This record gives sequence, C-alpha cells and structure tokens, in this order.
Amino acid sequence: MPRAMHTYTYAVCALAGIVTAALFLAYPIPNWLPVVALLVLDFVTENFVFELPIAGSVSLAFAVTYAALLHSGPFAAVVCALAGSTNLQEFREGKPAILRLFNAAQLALSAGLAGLAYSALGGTMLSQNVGSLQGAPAAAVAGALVFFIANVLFVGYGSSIISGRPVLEVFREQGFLSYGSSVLVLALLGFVMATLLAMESWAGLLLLVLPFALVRRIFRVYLELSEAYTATVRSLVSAIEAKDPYTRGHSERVAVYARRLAEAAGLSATDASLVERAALLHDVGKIGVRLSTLTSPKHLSAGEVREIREHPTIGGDLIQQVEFLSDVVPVIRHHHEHVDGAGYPAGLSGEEIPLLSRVLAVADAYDAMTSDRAYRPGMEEREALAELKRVAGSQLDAAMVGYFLAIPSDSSRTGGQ
Amino acid sequence: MARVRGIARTAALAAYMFALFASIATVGIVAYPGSLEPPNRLWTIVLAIAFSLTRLVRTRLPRGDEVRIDEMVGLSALWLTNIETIVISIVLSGLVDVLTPRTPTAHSSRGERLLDTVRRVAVVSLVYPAVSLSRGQMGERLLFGVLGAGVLYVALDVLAVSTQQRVLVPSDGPRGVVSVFRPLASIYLVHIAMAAVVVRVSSMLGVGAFLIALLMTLILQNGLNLYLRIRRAYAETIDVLAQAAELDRPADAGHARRVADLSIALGRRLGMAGIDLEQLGYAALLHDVGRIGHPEADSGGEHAVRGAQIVESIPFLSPVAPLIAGHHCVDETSDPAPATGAIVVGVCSDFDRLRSKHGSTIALQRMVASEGGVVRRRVIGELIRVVAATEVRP
Repeated sequence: MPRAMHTYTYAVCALAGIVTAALFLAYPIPNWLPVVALLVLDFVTENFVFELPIAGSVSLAFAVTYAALLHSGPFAAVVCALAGSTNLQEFREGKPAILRLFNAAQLALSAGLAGLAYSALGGTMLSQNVGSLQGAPAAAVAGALVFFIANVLFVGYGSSIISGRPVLEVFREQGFLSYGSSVLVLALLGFVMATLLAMESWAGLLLLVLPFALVRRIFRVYLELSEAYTATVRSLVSAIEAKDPYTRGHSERVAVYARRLAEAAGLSATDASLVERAALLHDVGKIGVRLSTLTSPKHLSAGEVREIREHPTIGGDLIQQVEFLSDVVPVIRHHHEHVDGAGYPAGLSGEEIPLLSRVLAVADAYDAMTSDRAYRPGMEEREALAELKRVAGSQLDAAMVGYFLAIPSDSSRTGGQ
Repeated sequence: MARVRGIARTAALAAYMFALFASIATVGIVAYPGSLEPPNRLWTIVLAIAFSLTRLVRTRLPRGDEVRIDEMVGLSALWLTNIETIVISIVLSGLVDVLTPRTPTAHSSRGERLLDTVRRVAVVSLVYPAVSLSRGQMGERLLFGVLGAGVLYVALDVLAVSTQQRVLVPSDGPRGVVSVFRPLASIYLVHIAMAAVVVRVSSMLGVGAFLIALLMTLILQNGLNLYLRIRRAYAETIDVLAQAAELDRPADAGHARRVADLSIALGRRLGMAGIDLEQLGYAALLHDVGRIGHPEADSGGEHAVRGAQIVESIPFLSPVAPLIAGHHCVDETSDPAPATGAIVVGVCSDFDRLRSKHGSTIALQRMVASEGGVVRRRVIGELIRVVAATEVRP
C-alpha cells in the first residue's frame, strides 16, 4: 500500500471526525428508534444480499443512509453511513485494515457533506415536520447529488493513488457515471423509506425492502449462471465432438480464433462474444453426418457431399430452439457461404453474408487447414496463412483475412495453445 | 377427428369468453353501488401509461408463452381511484397493444391481445368487491387489506392466464395453474409488496408514490426476467445438445426428450420438487450422452459410466452425474447404490425403447415382468399410473 494512501486516509478520517462532531452538536437525533431500525435493515441487506440489477454495484446502504438523512437529519445519516461500511464479507476476505478504515471515513464524510448541503438549502427532518418535504425538494435533490459525487470523488482519488494512474483515467475506466442511474433509483427508494418511517409504518418498511433483498439475491445467481453459460456450452460441445479424433477440440479452437479476429477487426465486445458462441456451436449440425463420411480418406460421393452441406442448416435449426441464442442462428447458418457466391446453403455473396459469419469462416478455414485429417496431415502455419491469402476475395472475406494475417503470430493468434 | 377437435376448441374458447364477460357483468350488476362515477382524468392517463409500460417487462414462460404481469398497477389503483377509471385505462392500454405492430419478440396475434384486455378487465372487476369491503381501513391494517386483495388478484389472474393458454393453444405438455405460477412467484411477490407500499404512503405522496413504485417494480421485474431467461437458456441448450447427440442414431430421435418429460412426471409423483426435479430432467436429457462415438449396442451400461464422466467435468451439471451413472442399475441395494432419480431415468428409458418397438400396452407388461429392486417396482407402479392417465385410449 503506497504511503500516500495512508496520508490520504488519515486526512479523510480527520475531516470526517470534525464534520461528525459538528453535526452531532448541531443536529442531535430526536428519536433513536427509527435510526436503529434503519441500521438493522442496513446490516441485514449489506451482509446477506448482493448486487442490484442495475448498472454498477452501489449497494442498498446508499438508500438507507439517504433515508436517515431525510428522516432524522445529517448526524443520523453519518451514523448510518458508518454502520453500513462494516461488511462481514470484507472481514472474511481479509481486506486490508487501512482500506476498511478509508471506506468508513469517506462514507461518513460524504454523508456529512450531503447533510450540510441538505440543511443549507432548507431541508428539515421528516420526523419533526410530518408529512412533507415542502419547500425542500431542491434540498433533497442536492443532498443525494452531493452524497453521490463526494463518494465517487473520494473513492476515485483513492484508487488513483493505489494504482498510480491519473485520476481522470480511473474515472473513465470505472464507469462511475453509469452508477448515476442506480443512484437515482436508490435515492427514490430512500425517500419512500423515510416517508414510511415518518408514518411509523414498520410493516410497510419491511414490505418495501423485502423485494429489493429478494431480487438482489436472485440477481447474484443470475450473474453466476450467465458467467458459467459459455463454459457449460464449451464442455458439452467438446464432449459431443470427442467422438471423432480428427475434429476433437475443433470448435473450441475456432472459438478462440474467431474471438481474436473479431477483436483485431475492431468489432464490439458484444459481437466478439457472439461470434465466440457461434463458433462453439457452428458444427452442432455435423453430428448428424455419419462418422464414416466425416473420417473417410477417400473422395466423397455426391450424396455424401450433399449430406455434409446440410450441416449449417441442421445446426441453425437446432440452435433456433434456444431463445437465448437466437442472435447466433444466422451466423451459424451462413458460415459456409463464399464471398463470390459459390458457397452453401443459400449461395449468398459479399455483404449479403452476415459479418460475423465471414469472421467465423476465416477462423474455421484456418483451423481446418492446420489440423490433421484422415486424408492428409495438417499444414504448417506459414503454408496455411499463404492459402488463406490465396482464397481471400473468392472464398473468404479479404478484409477479414487481412485482419487475421495482421494478428502477431507469437501464439496470440492461437491463444497460447 | 380434427374437425371434432376444432369444434371442441371453438366451444372452449366461447365458454372462456362467456365466463369473462359474465363475471364483468355480474360484478357490474350485483356489487356496483348505483350511478356511474366520472373517471378521474389524471389517473386515467397515468394508469393507461402504467399499464402499457408493464408490457415492456413481460415475462416468458418455459414453454414460450409470454405473460404480462400488471398486479402492482391494478391493485394499487383499486385504492387510489375509482373502478371506472381503471376499466377505461385498461381498455386504453389494450388499444395501444392492439394497434402496435407485431415484433419478432411479441408474437401474439391481435385477437389474443384483445382477449388479454378483456381478461384483465374481468380480473380487476372480480377483485373490486373485495377491495370495497376493506376500504375504510387505515394505518397498518391498510397494508394487510392490500396483501389479502393481492393474493386474490394473483390467484384469479393465474387461473385466467392458464385457462386462456389451454383454450388458445393445443396442449403439448403440462400447462396447469401450477406451471404458470411457479416460475412467476417472486415477480408476483414484488408486485403485491410494492402495491401495499404505494397504498400506504399515497396519503402523503399521492401520484408521486405510485410513479416511484412503478419505476422500482419495472426495474426489479426486469432483474427477475434476466434470471428466468438464463435458466431457460440452460434448459433449452441442454435439450438441443441432447438432440444433436441423437442425430448420430436416427432410431433414437426424440428419445431423450420423451424420457425427460416422463421422468419429470414420475419424479413429481414420487415427491420430488424444485432443483431435484430440474436435475432429474437434465439427467434424463443427457443419459445417453456417453453413447456418442460408440454406436455399437451396449447393454452393460458402460455408456452410463462414460456419460457420467463427461457430465462430471461441467460445474453446472456435476450434481447430475450420479443420476446418469446409475441409470442402468435396477436394484437399489447394488454397490454403488443408485439414486432414486437414476432408477426413474432408467425405467423411463427402458419403457420408451419398448414402447417405440411394441406399443404402450406390451411395453408396460414387459416392464412389470422385468426384474428389479423395491424402488424400481415402486417407480414402475407410478409409471403405469402416469401412462394410463396420459395415453389416448385405443
């Protein structure tokens, strides 16, 4: 941990201490019961539930702190912020003490500053002034904004010290702005919580927080499942492919090449993942082609050629049944089209062929050439690249072949295999 | 035969529509206080927009049907405004539905969307009398009034939705009330809880409370939809890859899926539920995955061991491996002891192969005559009941 981070942390702590002490004197908490209720809620939601289904990972603690501010004033907000920063998970994971201290101090300070802004603009405590924010909607908005901005600035500066990179770069990379939308929702949630507290509706408070807690929990499972999805498909496909020693691992390698090519061609991250998925499944329709045909060292009969040519269609039809993969279907269906129109199944040419199919075709051709087949051994990398260059513009998209050739050959094309 | 079925379908549709209109009319005549109240203009606009917005986050059920859930809007509106306003705004949002063109993701026909509108009016009308009974309540008791009415609202809605699906689409699998409700339970919970909160704070925040809660409900439901979608993606992907594995053996086409449907029906009767049932389904779909690349007949169950090895390496599916490994064991006392699920898959697989060759009756006789332990006997007993209940009699 850099020395500067220690200095920074102590400075934030000192400021937080001063602000807290001042707020304690200026805005004593009129009734502790609602604040304790919020603290309990905060502790439970922080420690037993996880991400929210909106951008970023701003936790419910923001809503609880904001509710405390509106209901019981600035000092209550600081208390809630401090309590919300104690997270059992971080203790278990062994997060450095200095970072935990920093986190608590910056949250308390942000909450304190928000409280000052709220009071300065005429905001009062809902607990004292039952039933309205009359005259103070501007104060409420300012309170939420100051809390959010102060929090982002303190954290951003801290991570810039730790990583040793310029502050602006950290801000751009962390995507703090995308937290904005979640902060809006959480501020509204905090506002409704404060109103329920002012009405002393404990059951209402519980009913409001329950759905959020439930959804956060389910959403965590969603994140895990969606991360594991591609891995699951990869394992299943390689299990199915294993029947043919000559194509074993083919789909997996094509997936690696296709992803690298998509990245080299400057396609979006979404397209890169899409083509990776398509590549993993591009030969699913080939399982229907008889083993003897696939591994035959002899020339194929007309019937066998027809059989092989059906595999993109069969594969597309199969994958179509998975709603989640509907974007992948056209990519698979057309991965054997040639840019000169001589391919199959539809005989599309040039730009008519989906872009990602053209990406997939290059990756597929390269792997087919470099791996061993029943009727010939695999080519050397240099030979295969020369062959790609030769068919660029007729069979394969010339631009895509160009990007593929431009990938440095020191194992990054093959993904270090 | 097809014509008879067509007439039966039309009759069912007519009966369903009659029930919808009859309930609207009954409530209108019996429970209605007398003269019409004028609709509230502000609430009409707000509710029409809110009802239309709920269409953005409609949820897709496992069999591909889409359900729009609007409990939060309808339920809170019953307290916040009069029934005339609600009915008018549902009709307005229904008009928006009917006029918007079909999109690839929303493939219901105009007629279906019209029927949806009538259904929503009928459900809200039927909840209305219950709400007007508890209208006078104040404070925390208000919350419980909303929760009670919410349960009624959901029950009626689920009943109507599942009936409508059964009437409109010829059945190709389980479509009962339970199959509609189960995946959506958490979404209904979110809607009812949010409606209760809106009603409670509306005396202080008015329309603002409704709008805030609507925004939150839409966001939360969207999160739940993402989760349901990825779950469905797993199930559909495994189904498709199981089909791909069968392409190699044309004689087996559809075997895995039939075994899965039957296994789930049996598992349910044997008291399995939730994640166990889901894993039983995956095991059944993948029970022959070890046969790939080994087309020769294999009655000794080596493919079961190979299949289990394949599945074991996949984190999401590793709990399914023992169910595949044991599906050729007939006796639960053998070592290692097969799980009940494995025996279910084995029975269903044997039965499906016999049925393809000899038909249901002879297949069942052979199953009864086959040897096996106590658990297998019990499973076969349930099999006879399931097959008798579902097969069309000759």
